[in-house]
Amino acid sequence: MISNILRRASTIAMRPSGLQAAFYTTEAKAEVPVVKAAEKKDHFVNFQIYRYNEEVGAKPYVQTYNVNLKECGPMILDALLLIKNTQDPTLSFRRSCREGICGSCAMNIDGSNTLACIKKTTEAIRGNSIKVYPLPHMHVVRDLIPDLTHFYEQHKSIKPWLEPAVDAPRYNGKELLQSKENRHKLDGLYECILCACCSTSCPSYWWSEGGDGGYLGPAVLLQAYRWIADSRDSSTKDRLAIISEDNMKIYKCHTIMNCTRVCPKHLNPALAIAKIKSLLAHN
Amino acid sequence: MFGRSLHSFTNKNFNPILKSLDRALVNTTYNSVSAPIIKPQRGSAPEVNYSTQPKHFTITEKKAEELRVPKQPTSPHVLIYRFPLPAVMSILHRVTGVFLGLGLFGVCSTALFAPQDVTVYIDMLKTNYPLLVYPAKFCIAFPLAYHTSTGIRHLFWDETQKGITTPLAESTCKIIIGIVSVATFIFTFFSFN
Repeated sequence: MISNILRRASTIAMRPSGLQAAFYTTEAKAEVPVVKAAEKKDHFVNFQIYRYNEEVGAKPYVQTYNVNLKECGPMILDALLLIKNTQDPTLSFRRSCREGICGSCAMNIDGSNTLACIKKTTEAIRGNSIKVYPLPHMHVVRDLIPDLTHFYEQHKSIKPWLEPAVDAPRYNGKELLQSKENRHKLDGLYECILCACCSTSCPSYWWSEGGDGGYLGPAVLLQAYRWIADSRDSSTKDRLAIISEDNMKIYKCHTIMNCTRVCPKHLNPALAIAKIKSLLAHN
Repeated sequence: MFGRSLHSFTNKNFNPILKSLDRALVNTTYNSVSAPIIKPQRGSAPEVNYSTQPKHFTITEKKAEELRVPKQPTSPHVLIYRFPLPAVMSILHRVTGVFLGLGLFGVCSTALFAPQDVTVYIDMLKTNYPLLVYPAKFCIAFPLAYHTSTGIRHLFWDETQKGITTPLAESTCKIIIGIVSVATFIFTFFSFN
């Protein structure tokens, strides 16, 4: 019985009244027709996609697929999957999480690097066509799949792991403690998913990533700064020494800022690089 | 439902066999791996196998021609990338820098090696080609104003680490374009001598 009374009371409380009610009804009326109009329209778009297959032996070429956006989901990845399922099963690309957290589907869409899974199709249309290329200036394994071996090697070279001091204060002999302020210094650094969008958007990285002493690129330098900025880490000097042992590794950055613009996680590699530069200058 | 029952069926009947198979496989691999390591050598202390030691491996030689080199073309870059304003201004900074350097080189070498003074040649240009005076002044005024203002921004960025965000870069780019156009106009069409 008490539960009955409570339920009734809650329904009365939930019922909009007066000014609120007016607000709710107008909102609902405004929303409904817009949604219907968007659903009904046929919208054909040409997808111009970079194709390459070593086994076929042909040179890289651009293939056009006609897609009705009415039939597919809102994102570029949905359209690519629709093409793969209905038109051309040989089209190959990496994808995994479809929600912008794995970084597999990084590619060049409409002349700018993004994740295909969080880029809206309607935002990429230019003259009734959408251009999809693999990440710029990378070795192409097939179609939209770049070879990221060198990128991962570079990430390995900055020692992306914590190296705490031997006598660092520990909780229960295991956990390394960190103050809230020091933890907040890592915000905007640890979220990097290593999708390589920023590194491959950087003209400096395009022309000087090769060899052992090449430019590390924004993604790897952001990660380098993530470990330099960590208060629990004890080998800051070694990390800075690794980066500065070759001028090309960091000073090829000319603050072009393509990296910050394209980052799908809205991080700021350019700022991290500037901070490393100032640390190197003042140490 | 059917899948689940099938799974339990296979689990019941074949698991012991599979398990024994698995064990046999593990045993054989373990023996084959550990056999050459445990083998004692005459005249030297037996090798001790700790987990930190690298695994024993064999090297097979192959000719360079036999190795398959994957054909991986470089994906398109400058031609397909849509450069935002800060990137365009960055490359223009480099171009104007090179241009200014070349100009300085020209003026200096003229002063050192030419038969007449630099001012003589400037006067010659003014008298012989009066139409070229304004374009020539523009070619000096624009790179100088542009390279200086973007250079100051670069120094500010490096010194303070402030203003390194996409919206701020955009707005400072627009401010620089304004300043440069005004300065170029003044230096081109007015003379201060």
